Amino acid sequence: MGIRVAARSWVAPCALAALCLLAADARALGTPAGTPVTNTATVTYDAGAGTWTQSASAVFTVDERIDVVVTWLDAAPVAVAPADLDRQLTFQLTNTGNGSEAFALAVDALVAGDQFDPGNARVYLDSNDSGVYEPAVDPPYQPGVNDPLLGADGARLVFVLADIPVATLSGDRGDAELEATSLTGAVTGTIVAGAGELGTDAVIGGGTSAVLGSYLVSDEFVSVAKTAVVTDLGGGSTPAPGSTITYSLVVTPNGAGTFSNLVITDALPPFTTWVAGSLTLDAVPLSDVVDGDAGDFGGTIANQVTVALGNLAGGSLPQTITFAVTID
Amino acid sequence: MKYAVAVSLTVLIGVTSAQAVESAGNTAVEIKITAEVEVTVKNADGIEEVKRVPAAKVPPGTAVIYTLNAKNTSAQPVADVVMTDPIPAAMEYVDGSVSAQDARVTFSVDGGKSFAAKEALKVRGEDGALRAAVPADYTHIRWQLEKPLAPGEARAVSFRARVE
Repeated sequence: MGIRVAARSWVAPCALAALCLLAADARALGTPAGTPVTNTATVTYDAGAGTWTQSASAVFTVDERIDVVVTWLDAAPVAVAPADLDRQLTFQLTNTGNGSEAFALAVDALVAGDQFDPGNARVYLDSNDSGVYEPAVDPPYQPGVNDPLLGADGARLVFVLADIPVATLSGDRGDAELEATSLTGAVTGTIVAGAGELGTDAVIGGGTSAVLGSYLVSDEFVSVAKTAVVTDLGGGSTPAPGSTITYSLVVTPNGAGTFSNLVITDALPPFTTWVAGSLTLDAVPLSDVVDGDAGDFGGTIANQVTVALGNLAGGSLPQTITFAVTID
Repeated sequence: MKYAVAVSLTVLIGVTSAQAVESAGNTAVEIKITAEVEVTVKNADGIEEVKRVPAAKVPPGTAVIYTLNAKNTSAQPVADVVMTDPIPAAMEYVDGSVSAQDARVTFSVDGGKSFAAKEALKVRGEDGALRAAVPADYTHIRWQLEKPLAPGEARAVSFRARVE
């Protein structure tokens, strides 16, 4: 079960993927490739005994224009610690052209101008628009195998995962560039005959787009240490049906800044049942319902523990959350 | 008619179709319409020049030049000649591009029901209030020729519209 730490300032500025999507607006040119555009002109005139009308038409077909835009969705550099593994940068690939198009992706973590190079940079495709990389759910990007195919105006979230070198200091920035290139062509102004939709020609507008994303090493971070103690029905520690698991989450704010609106959420593992009234914060019981105290179970988020820790100064005392479940 | 011209990568060209689709009773005036795009080609001296070629396939963002030509094919003068052209739904009129020689030009913003000079056109905005019309609001252009067409005389008018 994953623990989520959400703080409304800089710790997770883009935790809500939907908000990030709104921020990245790229208006596409509208008319679909292959559309016939007919223009019928008329003339009216007086002749003989009446008024007469004649008309004539001209028609052309709208070609496909290929345009792609890559945007970096994390609103600010992603705060990381030295030696962190699999840290996520979130990008969005948007087809701003007027036809379906497939794009090749490439990540470059060796760009100049930063203090370190993120290691082992890899590209993953968000398979479910969650905005958060999910192992085994979001596939690794494989050139030529799963190049994202996007309809006109279509968008896809793409993750770059990289490891943070050990030898980094607080304040160091490391950049990684994600580039998307149309499989039809990348050179602006070229025409690829017959490569557009419905037999149209493809005209390359912006066939390639690249943007930097950044990591920022910070000693300002919230750590959460989770431990579990099993008590079975006989007083031993065997995890069996009926056994109780008591979880303890120790939340430690590190660094010199302040973490505002810090919220800890934790989902129950499968095949367990919540022990009513078991939630505590620093040994003070919290009721299960949403009320005046800091926490609840199942009220704010179904089947999850939610504890709002408010504003915590870096370096202040760790906060300890405990709760219990029984094994079904 | 087929065109085969070396184009330096702006738009591809091909065939434009301009045929009369209606012929009602009196055919004293013949109308034609052509759609063209400008392309940059290199001439024999290697110098780039802009040419107009018939529009067959046009990418979004490109301006198309429409030319309407009315010709009096009869032996008598023809009066009150009015040419009307809708701006196709997928296109937007390019401001200031209309030619208006010897003709009174008016625009419509209501699908051709009424026409007025562009300064007088108003549309209702999303907030319900009337505002001055902009080129994107125009739906039709109308040319009223100021003089009758003499026998054999032709008059061409034109405008540009961009593919959205």
